Amino acid sequence: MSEAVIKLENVNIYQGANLVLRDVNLQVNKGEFVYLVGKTGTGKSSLLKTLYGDLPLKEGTGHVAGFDLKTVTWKTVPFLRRTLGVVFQDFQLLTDRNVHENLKFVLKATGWTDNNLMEAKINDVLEKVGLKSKGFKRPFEMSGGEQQRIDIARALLNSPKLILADEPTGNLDPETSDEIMQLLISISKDYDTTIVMATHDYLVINKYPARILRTEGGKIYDSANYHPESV
Amino acid sequence: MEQAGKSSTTKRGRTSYTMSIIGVSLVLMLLGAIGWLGINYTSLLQYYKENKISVQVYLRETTSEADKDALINDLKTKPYVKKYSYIDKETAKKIWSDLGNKDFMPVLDTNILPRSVEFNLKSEYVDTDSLSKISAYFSENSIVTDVQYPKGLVGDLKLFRKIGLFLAGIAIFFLIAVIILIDNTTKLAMFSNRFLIKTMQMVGATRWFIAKPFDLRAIINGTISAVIAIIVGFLTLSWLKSVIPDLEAISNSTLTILLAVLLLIIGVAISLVSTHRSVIKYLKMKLDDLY
Repeated sequence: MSEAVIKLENVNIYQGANLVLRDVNLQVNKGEFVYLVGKTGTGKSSLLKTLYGDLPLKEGTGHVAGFDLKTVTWKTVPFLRRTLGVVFQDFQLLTDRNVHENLKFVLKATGWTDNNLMEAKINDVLEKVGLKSKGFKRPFEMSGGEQQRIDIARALLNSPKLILADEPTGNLDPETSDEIMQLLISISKDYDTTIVMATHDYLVINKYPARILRTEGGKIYDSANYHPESV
Repeated sequence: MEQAGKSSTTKRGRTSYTMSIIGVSLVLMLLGAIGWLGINYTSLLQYYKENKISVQVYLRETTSEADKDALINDLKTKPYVKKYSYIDKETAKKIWSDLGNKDFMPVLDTNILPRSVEFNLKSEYVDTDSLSKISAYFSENSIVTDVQYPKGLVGDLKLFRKIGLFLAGIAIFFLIAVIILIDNTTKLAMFSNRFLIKTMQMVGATRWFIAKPFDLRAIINGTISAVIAIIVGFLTLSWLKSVIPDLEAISNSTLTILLAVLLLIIGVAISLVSTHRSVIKYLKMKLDDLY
Protein backbone atom coordinates (compact mmCIF):
# COMPACT_ATOMS: atom_id res chain seq x y z
CA MET A 1 0.00 0.00 0.00
CA SER A 2 1.36 3.47 -0.96
CA GLU A 3 2.36 5.90 1.75
CA ALA A 4 0.34 9.14 1.65
CA VAL A 5 2.52 12.26 1.94
CA ILE A 6 -0.42 14.61 1.45
CA LYS A 7 -3.93 13.73 2.55
CA LEU A 8 -6.76 16.24 2.53
CA GLU A 9 -10.34 15.29 3.42
CA ASN A 10 -13.37 17.57 3.02
CA VAL A 11 -11.12 20.59 3.13
CA ASN A 12 -12.32 24.12 2.44
CA ILE A 13 -9.48 26.53 1.69
CA TYR A 14 -9.84 30.21 2.49
CA GLN A 15 -7.80 33.20 1.46
CA GLY A 16 -8.69 35.62 4.24
CA ALA A 17 -12.49 35.46 4.50
CA ASN A 18 -12.94 34.22 0.90
CA LEU A 19 -13.56 30.56 0.23
CA VAL A 20 -11.33 29.77 -2.77
CA LEU A 21 -11.48 25.95 -2.90
CA ARG A 22 -14.26 23.81 -1.44
CA ASP A 23 -14.65 20.18 -0.57
CA VAL A 24 -11.08 19.21 -1.46
CA ASN A 25 -10.34 15.50 -1.15
CA LEU A 26 -6.86 14.64 -2.19
CA GLN A 27 -4.15 12.09 -1.62
CA VAL A 28 -0.62 12.31 -3.02
CA ASN A 29 1.67 9.39 -2.35
CA LYS A 30 5.37 9.05 -1.77
CA GLY A 31 7.48 9.58 -4.90
CA GLU A 32 4.62 10.99 -6.98
CA PHE A 33 5.14 13.93 -9.31
CA VAL A 34 1.99 16.05 -9.56
CA TYR A 35 1.25 19.19 -11.54
CA LEU A 36 -1.08 21.81 -10.13
CA VAL A 37 -2.64 23.90 -12.89
CA GLY A 38 -5.40 26.46 -13.20
CA LYS A 39 -6.03 30.09 -14.04
CA THR A 40 -4.61 32.81 -11.86
CA GLY A 41 -6.82 33.35 -8.83
CA THR A 42 -8.38 29.87 -8.87
CA GLY A 43 -6.58 28.76 -5.69
CA LYS A 44 -3.31 27.07 -6.73
CA SER A 45 -1.12 29.20 -4.48
CA SER A 46 -3.72 29.09 -1.67
CA LEU A 47 -3.59 25.28 -1.78
CA LEU A 48 0.22 25.29 -1.66
CA LYS A 49 0.21 27.86 1.18
CA THR A 50 -2.18 25.66 3.13
CA LEU A 51 0.14 22.71 2.57
CA TYR A 52 3.19 24.59 3.88
CA GLY A 53 1.32 26.24 6.72
CA ASP A 54 1.17 29.85 5.57
CA LEU A 55 -2.64 29.67 5.47
CA PRO A 56 -4.46 27.99 8.37
CA LEU A 57 -6.60 24.95 7.72
CA LYS A 58 -10.00 26.08 8.97
CA GLU A 59 -12.32 23.33 7.73
CA GLY A 60 -11.74 19.66 7.04
CA THR A 61 -8.76 17.49 7.95
CA GLY A 62 -5.32 17.59 6.42
CA HIS A 63 -2.01 15.84 6.93
CA VAL A 64 1.28 16.74 5.26
CA ALA A 65 4.42 14.66 5.80
CA GLY A 66 2.99 13.38 9.05
CA PHE A 67 1.91 16.81 10.37
CA ASP A 68 -1.70 17.53 11.23
CA LEU A 69 -2.34 20.89 9.53
CA LYS A 70 -5.10 21.72 12.02
CA THR A 71 -2.59 21.85 14.88
CA VAL A 72 0.07 23.91 13.09
CA THR A 73 0.52 27.43 14.48
CA TRP A 74 3.01 30.18 13.61
CA LYS A 75 5.19 28.88 16.44
CA THR A 76 5.21 25.26 15.22
CA VAL A 77 5.19 25.92 11.47
CA PRO A 78 9.05 25.84 11.24
CA PHE A 79 8.98 22.15 12.22
CA LEU A 80 6.49 21.35 9.43
CA ARG A 81 8.69 23.22 6.95
CA ARG A 82 11.76 21.24 7.95
CA THR A 83 10.09 18.12 6.56
CA LEU A 84 9.35 19.70 3.22
CA GLY A 85 11.15 21.80 0.68
CA VAL A 86 9.52 24.87 -0.82
CA VAL A 87 10.66 26.18 -4.19
CA PHE A 88 9.47 29.65 -5.16
CA GLN A 89 9.00 31.37 -8.49
CA ASP A 90 10.98 34.36 -7.22
CA PHE A 91 13.60 32.14 -5.49
CA GLN A 92 13.45 33.96 -2.13
CA LEU A 93 17.10 33.41 -1.36
CA LEU A 94 18.69 35.43 1.45
CA THR A 95 20.17 38.32 -0.50
CA ASP A 96 22.52 39.44 2.26
CA ARG A 97 24.76 36.36 2.01
CA ASN A 98 26.36 34.11 -0.61
CA VAL A 99 25.12 30.72 -1.81
CA HIS A 100 27.20 28.73 0.67
CA GLU A 101 25.99 30.91 3.55
CA ASN A 102 22.39 30.63 2.32
CA LEU A 103 22.58 26.86 2.51
CA LYS A 104 24.50 26.84 5.79
CA PHE A 105 21.90 29.13 7.35
CA VAL A 106 19.17 26.58 6.58
CA LEU A 107 21.20 23.76 8.09
CA LYS A 108 21.97 25.74 11.25
CA ALA A 109 18.36 26.91 11.49
CA THR A 110 17.14 23.35 11.29
CA GLY A 111 19.37 22.03 14.03
CA TRP A 112 22.60 20.94 12.33
CA THR A 113 25.68 21.56 14.47
CA ASP A 114 28.56 19.48 13.06
CA ASN A 115 30.52 21.72 10.69
CA ASN A 116 31.99 18.83 8.67
CA LEU A 117 28.59 17.28 8.13
CA MET A 118 27.19 20.66 7.09
CA GLU A 119 30.00 21.21 4.56
CA ALA A 120 29.49 17.73 3.15
CA LYS A 121 25.74 18.25 2.81
CA ILE A 122 26.19 21.63 1.10
CA ASN A 123 28.66 20.12 -1.40
CA ASP A 124 26.27 17.23 -1.95
CA VAL A 125 23.23 19.38 -2.81
CA LEU A 126 25.27 21.82 -4.91
CA GLU A 127 26.60 18.87 -6.89
CA LYS A 128 23.07 17.56 -7.39
CA VAL A 129 21.96 20.85 -8.92
CA GLY A 130 25.18 21.22 -10.92
CA LEU A 131 26.51 24.31 -9.15
CA LYS A 132 29.31 22.95 -7.01
CA SER A 133 31.67 25.76 -7.97
CA LYS A 134 29.22 28.63 -7.33
CA GLY A 135 29.09 28.59 -3.54
CA PHE A 136 30.93 31.88 -3.19
CA LYS A 137 28.48 33.86 -5.34
CA ARG A 138 25.76 36.09 -4.02
CA PRO A 139 22.24 35.45 -5.36
CA PHE A 140 22.11 38.70 -7.34
CA GLU A 141 25.34 37.73 -9.13
CA MET A 142 23.68 34.65 -10.62
CA SER A 143 21.28 34.05 -13.54
CA GLY A 144 17.62 33.21 -12.92
CA GLY A 145 18.22 29.56 -13.77
CA GLU A 146 21.16 29.35 -11.35
CA GLN A 147 19.15 30.99 -8.59
CA GLN A 148 16.33 28.51 -9.15
CA ARG A 149 18.83 25.64 -8.91
CA ILE A 150 20.08 27.08 -5.61
CA ASP A 151 16.47 27.34 -4.46
CA ILE A 152 16.04 23.64 -5.28
CA ALA A 153 19.36 22.80 -3.58
CA ARG A 154 18.10 24.57 -0.47
CA ALA A 155 14.87 22.58 -0.60
CA LEU A 156 16.91 19.35 -0.75
CA LEU A 157 19.08 20.07 2.31
CA ASN A 158 16.95 18.22 4.83
CA SER A 159 16.10 15.32 2.48
CA PRO A 160 12.42 16.30 2.38
CA LYS A 161 9.59 13.85 1.80
CA LEU A 162 7.77 16.53 -0.17
CA ILE A 163 8.79 19.44 -2.39
CA LEU A 164 6.21 22.13 -3.07
CA ALA A 165 7.19 24.17 -6.10
CA ASP A 166 5.24 27.33 -6.87
CA GLU A 167 5.76 28.03 -10.57
CA PRO A 168 9.49 27.28 -10.45
CA THR A 169 9.87 27.85 -14.19
CA GLY A 170 7.68 30.95 -14.29
CA ASN A 171 10.58 33.40 -14.59
CA LEU A 172 12.79 31.26 -16.81
CA ASP A 173 13.35 30.89 -20.55
CA PRO A 174 12.22 27.59 -22.20
CA GLU A 175 15.72 26.08 -22.29
CA THR A 176 16.41 26.83 -18.61
CA SER A 177 12.89 25.67 -17.70
CA ASP A 178 13.64 22.36 -19.35
CA GLU A 179 16.84 21.99 -17.30
CA ILE A 180 14.96 22.74 -14.07
CA MET A 181 12.25 20.19 -14.98
CA GLN A 182 14.83 17.50 -15.64
CA LEU A 183 16.39 18.29 -12.28
CA LEU A 184 13.06 18.08 -10.41
CA ILE A 185 12.06 14.84 -12.14
CA SER A 186 15.44 13.26 -11.40
CA ILE A 187 15.11 14.25 -7.74
CA SER A 188 11.63 12.72 -7.61
CA LYS A 189 12.85 9.46 -9.17
CA ASP A 190 16.24 9.17 -7.50
CA TYR A 191 15.16 10.03 -3.95
CA ASP A 192 11.49 8.95 -4.07
CA THR A 193 10.55 12.53 -3.21
CA THR A 194 6.98 13.68 -3.74
CA ILE A 195 6.79 16.85 -5.81
CA VAL A 196 3.76 19.09 -6.24
CA MET A 197 4.46 21.74 -8.83
CA ALA A 198 2.16 24.64 -9.65
CA THR A 199 2.63 25.77 -13.24
CA HIS A 200 1.09 27.52 -16.24
CA ASP A 201 3.62 25.98 -18.60
CA TYR A 202 1.74 23.42 -20.72
CA LEU A 203 4.80 22.79 -22.90
CA VAL A 204 6.51 21.39 -19.83
CA ILE A 205 3.47 19.26 -18.95
CA ASN A 206 3.32 17.87 -22.48
CA LYS A 207 7.01 17.05 -22.45
CA TYR A 208 7.03 15.51 -18.98
CA PRO A 209 3.52 14.11 -18.47
CA ALA A 210 2.35 13.31 -14.94
CA ARG A 211 -0.74 13.42 -12.74
CA ILE A 212 -2.52 16.80 -12.96
CA LEU A 213 -4.61 18.63 -10.39
CA ARG A 214 -6.64 21.45 -11.95
CA THR A 215 -8.26 24.24 -9.96
CA GLU A 216 -11.37 25.79 -11.46
CA GLY A 217 -14.56 27.34 -10.15
CA GLY A 218 -13.67 26.69 -6.52
CA LYS A 219 -13.06 22.95 -7.08
CA ILE A 220 -10.08 20.71 -7.71
CA TYR A 221 -10.21 18.24 -10.58
CA ASP A 222 -7.80 15.33 -10.41
CA SER A 223 -6.57 13.59 -13.56
CA ALA A 224 -6.18 10.43 -11.45
CA ASN A 225 -9.97 10.30 -11.13
CA TYR A 226 -10.60 10.74 -14.87
CA HIS A 227 -11.37 7.47 -16.66
CA PRO A 228 -12.39 8.09 -20.33
CA GLU A 229 -13.41 4.46 -20.85
CA SER A 230 -16.07 4.79 -18.14
CA VAL A 231 -17.75 7.82 -19.86
CA MET B 1 15.85 44.53 -13.17
CA GLU B 2 14.93 42.25 -10.33
CA GLN B 3 18.55 41.38 -9.71
CA ALA B 4 19.50 45.03 -9.57
CA GLY B 5 16.71 45.51 -7.05
CA LYS B 6 17.98 42.66 -4.91
CA SER B 7 21.58 43.89 -5.02
CA SER B 8 20.49 47.10 -3.38
CA THR B 9 18.65 45.34 -0.54
CA THR B 10 21.73 45.05 1.66
CA LYS B 11 22.67 48.68 0.97
CA ARG B 12 19.11 49.77 1.83
CA GLY B 13 19.30 47.74 5.02
CA ARG B 14 22.55 49.44 6.02
CA THR B 15 21.13 52.89 5.17
CA SER B 16 18.03 52.28 7.26
CA TYR B 17 20.21 51.07 10.17
CA THR B 18 22.34 54.24 9.89
CA MET B 19 19.24 56.43 9.81
CA SER B 20 17.86 54.51 12.77
CA ILE B 21 21.08 55.08 14.78
CA ILE B 22 21.07 58.82 13.94
CA GLY B 23 17.37 59.15 14.75
CA VAL B 24 17.68 57.34 18.07
CA SER B 25 20.79 59.40 18.94
CA LEU B 26 18.92 62.65 18.32
CA VAL B 27 15.96 61.72 20.51
CA LEU B 28 18.28 60.45 23.25
CA MET B 29 20.17 63.77 23.11
CA LEU B 30 16.86 65.55 23.54
CA LEU B 31 15.96 63.36 26.49
CA GLY B 32 19.45 63.83 27.93
CA ALA B 33 19.12 67.62 27.73
CA ILE B 34 15.77 67.53 29.54
CA GLY B 35 17.16 65.09 32.10
CA TRP B 36 20.20 67.28 32.69
CA LEU B 37 17.94 70.30 33.21
CA GLY B 38 15.92 68.27 35.71
CA ILE B 39 19.03 67.21 37.64
CA ASN B 40 20.41 70.73 37.73
CA TYR B 41 17.07 72.22 38.64
CA THR B 42 17.12 70.15 41.82
CA SER B 43 20.77 70.98 42.53
CA LEU B 44 20.26 74.66 41.80
CA LEU B 45 17.21 74.86 44.03
CA GLN B 46 18.98 73.04 46.85
CA TYR B 47 22.11 75.16 46.45
CA TYR B 48 19.98 78.30 46.45
CA LYS B 49 17.95 77.29 49.52
CA GLU B 50 20.93 76.18 51.60
CA ASN B 51 23.38 78.94 50.69
CA LYS B 52 21.45 82.03 49.70
CA ILE B 53 18.68 82.08 52.30
CA SER B 54 19.92 82.68 55.82
CA VAL B 55 18.30 83.64 59.11
CA GLN B 56 19.82 86.46 61.24
CA VAL B 57 19.14 86.42 64.95
CA TYR B 58 20.12 89.82 66.43
CA LEU B 59 21.18 89.92 70.07
CA ARG B 60 20.62 92.62 72.68
CA GLU B 61 23.56 94.86 73.54
CA THR B 62 23.40 93.59 77.12
CA THR B 63 23.53 89.90 76.23
CA SER B 64 26.15 88.11 78.27
CA GLU B 65 28.63 85.67 76.74
CA ALA B 66 26.99 82.85 78.70
CA ASP B 67 23.53 83.67 77.28
CA LYS B 68 24.98 83.96 73.78
CA ASP B 69 26.69 80.54 74.16
CA ALA B 70 23.46 79.04 75.48
CA LEU B 71 21.62 80.31 72.40
CA ILE B 72 24.27 78.86 70.09
CA ASN B 73 24.24 75.54 71.94
CA ASP B 74 20.47 75.43 71.56
CA LEU B 75 20.83 76.21 67.84
CA LYS B 76 23.31 73.37 67.37
CA THR B 77 20.72 70.84 68.52
CA LYS B 78 18.10 71.89 65.98
CA PRO B 79 17.67 69.39 63.09
CA TYR B 80 16.99 72.12 60.54
CA VAL B 81 20.35 73.90 60.90
CA LYS B 82 22.71 73.33 57.98
CA LYS B 83 25.47 75.70 59.21
CA TYR B 84 25.76 78.67 61.53
CA SER B 85 28.16 81.47 62.42
CA TYR B 86 28.40 84.00 65.22
CA ILE B 87 28.95 87.56 64.06
CA ASP B 88 30.47 89.86 66.66
CA LYS B 89 30.40 93.63 66.41
CA GLU B 90 33.76 93.91 64.61
CA THR B 91 32.77 91.32 62.01
CA ALA B 92 29.42 93.06 61.55
CA LYS B 93 31.25 96.35 60.93
CA LYS B 94 33.51 94.67 58.37
CA ILE B 95 30.50 93.19 56.57
CA TRP B 96 28.88 96.64 56.65
CA SER B 97 31.97 98.15 55.03
CA ASP B 98 32.37 95.33 52.53
CA LEU B 99 28.84 96.05 51.35
CA GLY B 100 30.04 99.53 50.36
CA ASN B 101 28.35 101.42 53.16
CA LYS B 102 29.85 104.61 54.60
CA ASP B 103 31.94 104.26 57.77
CA PHE B 104 29.84 105.64 60.65
CA MET B 105 32.61 105.59 63.27
CA PRO B 106 33.89 109.14 62.71
CA VAL B 107 30.33 110.46 63.30
CA LEU B 108 29.00 108.23 66.05
CA ASP B 109 32.27 107.25 67.69
CA THR B 110 30.81 103.88 68.61
CA ASN B 111 29.92 100.63 66.82
CA ILE B 112 26.14 100.55 66.74
CA LEU B 113 25.86 97.30 64.82
CA PRO B 114 24.44 94.51 66.97
CA ARG B 115 25.95 91.09 67.49
CA SER B 116 24.07 88.31 65.73
CA VAL B 117 23.92 84.62 65.02
CA GLU B 118 23.43 83.75 61.37
CA PHE B 119 22.38 80.29 60.24
CA ASN B 120 21.35 78.50 57.07
CA LEU B 121 18.65 75.87 56.94
CA LYS B 122 18.58 72.46 55.34
CA SER B 123 16.71 72.82 52.05
CA GLU B 124 13.66 70.83 53.16
CA TYR B 125 12.99 73.43 55.93
CA VAL B 126 13.18 76.43 53.63
CA ASP B 127 9.51 77.26 53.30
CA THR B 128 7.25 80.00 54.66
CA ASP B 129 5.65 77.90 57.41
CA SER B 130 8.91 76.47 58.81
CA LEU B 131 10.64 79.84 58.71
CA SER B 132 7.71 81.52 60.51
CA LYS B 133 7.87 78.92 63.29
CA ILE B 134 11.67 79.13 63.53
CA SER B 135 11.48 82.94 63.59
CA ALA B 136 8.79 82.85 66.30
CA TYR B 137 10.84 80.41 68.39
CA PHE B 138 13.92 82.66 68.49
CA SER B 139 11.88 85.84 68.87
CA GLU B 140 10.55 84.52 72.18
CA ASN B 141 14.09 84.45 73.59
CA SER B 142 14.66 87.49 75.85
CA ILE B 143 18.20 88.15 74.51
CA VAL B 144 16.94 88.39 70.93
CA THR B 145 15.86 91.77 69.57
CA ASP B 146 14.96 90.74 66.06
CA VAL B 147 14.89 87.76 63.68
CA GLN B 148 15.21 88.45 59.98
CA TYR B 149 15.13 86.35 56.83
CA PRO B 150 14.43 87.24 53.17
CA LYS B 151 10.64 86.70 53.15
CA GLY B 152 10.28 87.74 49.50
CA LEU B 153 12.79 85.16 48.31
CA VAL B 154 11.12 82.40 50.31
CA GLY B 155 7.78 83.33 48.69
CA ASP B 156 9.39 83.03 45.25
CA LEU B 157 10.32 79.41 45.99
CA LYS B 158 6.69 78.44 45.31
CA LEU B 159 7.23 79.64 41.76
CA PHE B 160 10.41 77.52 41.59
CA ARG B 161 8.35 74.52 42.65
CA LYS B 162 5.83 75.17 39.88
CA ILE B 163 8.66 75.44 37.37
CA GLY B 164 10.03 72.15 38.70
CA LEU B 165 6.68 70.42 38.26
CA PHE B 166 6.42 71.86 34.76
CA LEU B 167 9.90 70.52 33.93
CA ALA B 168 8.95 67.10 35.32
CA GLY B 169 5.82 67.11 33.14
CA ILE B 170 7.89 68.05 30.09
CA ALA B 171 10.41 65.29 30.91
CA ILE B 172 7.66 62.64 31.11
CA PHE B 173 6.18 63.91 27.84
CA PHE B 174 9.59 63.72 26.17
CA LEU B 175 10.20 60.24 27.56
CA ILE B 176 6.95 59.01 26.00
CA ALA B 177 7.78 60.84 22.75
CA VAL B 178 11.26 59.27 22.76
CA ILE B 179 9.82 55.77 23.21
CA ILE B 180 7.34 56.30 20.34
CA LEU B 181 10.00 57.87 18.07
CA ILE B 182 12.56 55.12 18.68
CA ASP B 183 9.87 52.47 18.25
CA ASN B 184 8.81 53.94 14.90
CA THR B 185 12.40 54.43 13.71
CA THR B 186 13.21 50.81 14.55
CA LYS B 187 10.04 49.58 12.85
CA LEU B 188 11.03 51.48 9.69
CA ALA B 189 14.48 49.87 9.79
CA MET B 190 12.91 46.42 10.26
CA PHE B 191 10.42 46.98 7.41
CA SER B 192 13.26 46.58 4.90
CA ASN B 193 14.04 43.16 6.43
CA ARG B 194 10.50 41.77 6.30
CA PHE B 195 11.09 39.46 3.32
CA LEU B 196 14.38 38.26 4.78
CA ILE B 197 12.56 37.33 7.99
CA LYS B 198 9.79 35.55 6.09
CA THR B 199 12.29 33.62 3.95
CA MET B 200 14.10 32.48 7.10
CA GLN B 201 10.77 31.23 8.45
CA MET B 202 9.99 29.52 5.13
CA VAL B 203 13.10 27.35 5.36
CA GLY B 204 12.23 26.12 8.85
CA ALA B 205 14.04 28.52 11.18
CA THR B 206 12.41 28.97 14.57
CA ARG B 207 11.41 32.41 15.80
CA TRP B 208 14.28 32.59 18.32
CA PHE B 209 16.82 31.57 15.69
CA ILE B 210 15.50 34.30 13.38
CA ALA B 211 15.17 36.95 16.08
CA LYS B 212 18.63 36.39 17.63
CA PRO B 213 20.76 38.24 15.02
CA PHE B 214 18.24 41.08 14.78
CA ASP B 215 18.11 41.40 18.58
CA LEU B 216 21.91 41.43 18.71
CA ARG B 217 22.01 44.13 16.04
CA ALA B 218 19.41 46.12 18.03
CA ILE B 219 21.59 45.96 21.14
CA ILE B 220 24.64 47.13 19.13
CA ASN B 221 22.68 49.91 17.38
CA GLY B 222 21.07 51.04 20.64
CA THR B 223 24.49 51.15 22.29
CA ILE B 224 26.02 53.13 19.41
CA SER B 225 23.09 55.59 19.49
CA ALA B 226 23.38 56.06 23.25
CA VAL B 227 27.17 56.46 23.13
CA ILE B 228 26.84 59.12 20.40
CA ALA B 229 24.20 60.95 22.47
CA ILE B 230 26.33 60.73 25.63
CA ILE B 231 29.52 61.97 23.90
CA VAL B 232 27.70 64.89 22.26
CA GLY B 233 26.00 65.66 25.59
CA PHE B 234 29.28 65.71 27.53
CA LEU B 235 31.00 67.86 24.89
CA THR B 236 28.09 70.33 24.96
CA LEU B 237 28.16 70.39 28.77
CA SER B 238 31.93 71.02 28.82
CA TRP B 239 31.51 73.88 26.37
CA LEU B 240 28.64 75.36 28.43
CA LYS B 241 30.72 75.15 31.62
CA SER B 242 33.54 77.05 29.93
CA VAL B 243 31.07 79.75 28.85
CA ILE B 244 29.06 79.83 32.12
CA PRO B 245 31.46 78.99 35.03
CA ASP B 246 28.60 78.98 37.62
CA LEU B 247 27.34 75.75 36.05
CA GLU B 248 30.31 73.98 37.61
CA ALA B 249 29.06 74.83 41.13
CA ILE B 250 25.58 73.38 40.64
CA SER B 251 26.55 70.49 38.35
CA ASN B 252 26.09 67.10 40.02
CA SER B 253 28.68 64.76 38.50
CA THR B 254 27.27 61.59 40.04
CA LEU B 255 23.76 62.27 38.78
CA THR B 256 25.10 63.28 35.37
CA ILE B 257 26.92 59.95 35.09
CA LEU B 258 23.75 58.17 36.23
CA LEU B 259 21.85 60.06 33.55
CA ALA B 260 24.36 58.83 30.95
CA VAL B 261 23.86 55.24 32.15
CA LEU B 262 20.08 55.73 32.03
CA LEU B 263 20.32 56.99 28.43
CA LEU B 264 22.34 53.88 27.54
CA ILE B 265 19.75 51.60 29.14
CA ILE B 266 16.83 53.42 27.50
CA GLY B 267 18.53 53.39 24.07
CA VAL B 268 19.32 49.67 24.20
CA ALA B 269 16.05 48.60 25.84
CA ILE B 270 13.75 50.46 23.47
CA SER B 271 15.72 49.37 20.38
CA LEU B 272 15.71 45.75 21.55
CA VAL B 273 12.02 45.62 22.47
CA SER B 274 10.94 47.40 19.27
CA THR B 275 13.11 45.17 17.08
CA HIS B 276 11.93 41.96 18.72
CA ARG B 277 8.30 43.05 18.45
CA SER B 278 8.79 43.85 14.74
CA VAL B 279 10.40 40.45 14.04
CA ILE B 280 7.53 38.65 15.77
CA LYS B 281 5.01 40.80 13.87
CA TYR B 282 6.53 39.83 10.51
CA LEU B 283 6.75 36.18 11.53
CA LYS B 284 3.03 36.18 12.32
CA MET B 285 2.11 37.88 9.04
CA LYS B 286 1.04 35.92 5.96
CA LEU B 287 3.37 36.09 2.96
CA ASP B 288 0.79 38.06 0.91
CA ASP B 289 0.39 40.63 3.68
CA LEU B 290 4.06 41.62 3.39
CA TYR B 291 3.55 43.26 -0.02
